[in-house]
Amino acid sequence: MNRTNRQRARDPQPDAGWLAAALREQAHQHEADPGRISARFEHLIAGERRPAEPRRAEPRRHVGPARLRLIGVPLGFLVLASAIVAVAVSLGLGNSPAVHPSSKVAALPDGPGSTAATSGPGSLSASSMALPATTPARSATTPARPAGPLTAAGTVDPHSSQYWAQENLTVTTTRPVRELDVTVAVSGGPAVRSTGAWTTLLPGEVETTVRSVPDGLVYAITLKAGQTLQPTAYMFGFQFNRPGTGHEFTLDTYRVSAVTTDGATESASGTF
Amino acid sequence: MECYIPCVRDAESAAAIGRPGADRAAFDVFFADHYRELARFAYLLTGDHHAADDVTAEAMAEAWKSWARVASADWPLAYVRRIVANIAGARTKRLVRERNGWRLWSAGRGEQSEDSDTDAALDLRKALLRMPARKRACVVLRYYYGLSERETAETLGIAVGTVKSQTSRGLEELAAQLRGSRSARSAERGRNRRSTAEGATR
Repeated sequence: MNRTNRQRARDPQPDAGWLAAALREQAHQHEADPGRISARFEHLIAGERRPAEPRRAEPRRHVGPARLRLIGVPLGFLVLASAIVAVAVSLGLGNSPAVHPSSKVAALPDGPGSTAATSGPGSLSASSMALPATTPARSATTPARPAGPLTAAGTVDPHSSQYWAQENLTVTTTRPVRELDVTVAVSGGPAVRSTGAWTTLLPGEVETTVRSVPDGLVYAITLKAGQTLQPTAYMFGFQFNRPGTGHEFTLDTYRVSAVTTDGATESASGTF
Repeated sequence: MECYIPCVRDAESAAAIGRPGADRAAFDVFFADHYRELARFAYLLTGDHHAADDVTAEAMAEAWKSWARVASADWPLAYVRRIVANIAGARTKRLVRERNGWRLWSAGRGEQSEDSDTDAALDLRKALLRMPARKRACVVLRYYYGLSERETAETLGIAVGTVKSQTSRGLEELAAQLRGSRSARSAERGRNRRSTAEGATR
């Protein structure tokens, strides 16, 4: 705190006021996207923790919402200066800090150029089984055959808000798989717009597409020919801007089908 | 360029698992207080909105992995700024490759934002990005944050003399480049104005 005062008290160099002002203007062009930062942060942390608790799909510590609630306080004062980088974040805002986790968490930009796409593992040498740290806000449809070689569970990510959402899908195989197709249909009509998707599979292992259809969006992720997946849990995240009305999580569906290396065809489906 | 990132991996990261909740709470407060400003710092260093947020996330992850050390530092924020500066420095080289890789269909916020730049802001960004990473970091810490030479040196883990020389050279370079592009632009505008005026008198 003292430090801050000291910093303020000291003007850099008398003739460099123009530069300070220009840098400030430049810096203020950037409004951090808390959804993106959080998602990547958690991904990195998840990678870090993985060695200690390999391939458990559940008990990761529920860190996301706690931190996001804290972020909410400063973000409440976020001014949407730029029409383009309009990032509205309503994390509890002026409300009580003890906002319920399932209430509004983060509103992400909904302009045409906006994105909430989580950047993937990138430099993180995440192997295919890294799991994100987020814990489902509510548990969704349980797989039809929990004991089978292929199970899938869809959840709504707790960072979702009324304006933006992420749906998470965990696909678990107990046998090596040589074919995998994941299809997610998002309801809500043409106003629903994709802002990205990610998976713990490596980019080179899959083909990913997203299509706008009259009912909403269809994401499709397919394992490339020649790839084999080892038995473990794989995570997928599907992110989109939500219209004010018309989108229902319960109408969003997933379908997963796989062919094991010994030739058996398996499938699983459900809703978020 | 020497590496000025603090060494934050290994033993401490193993200890991150099962860390008491109190640490986590302190970290969460730090995160909430600083992520926005750190992202702006990263933006000045990378000139790219996506990269700025990703660098911030990576720096926060590093900070969490070595939280015991960060928290006990004299000035934890300086410690994390150093991490940001270092990751951003490395990142600017890696950026192009990464873009071609993972980002499947993220609509570019980076591209959009160009439109909102004033000429001057665009010139400054270009001029900044032309500098080597360390010089850029010095200039930003000194003139954006208003840190002293000593604080800048402490933050980046380099000598005060280096800060001094890098900063003054950086300042001169920026001033020269911006003067250059400003005068080029006003000459251009002058021409346009003249031709409009001529058009009107005719």
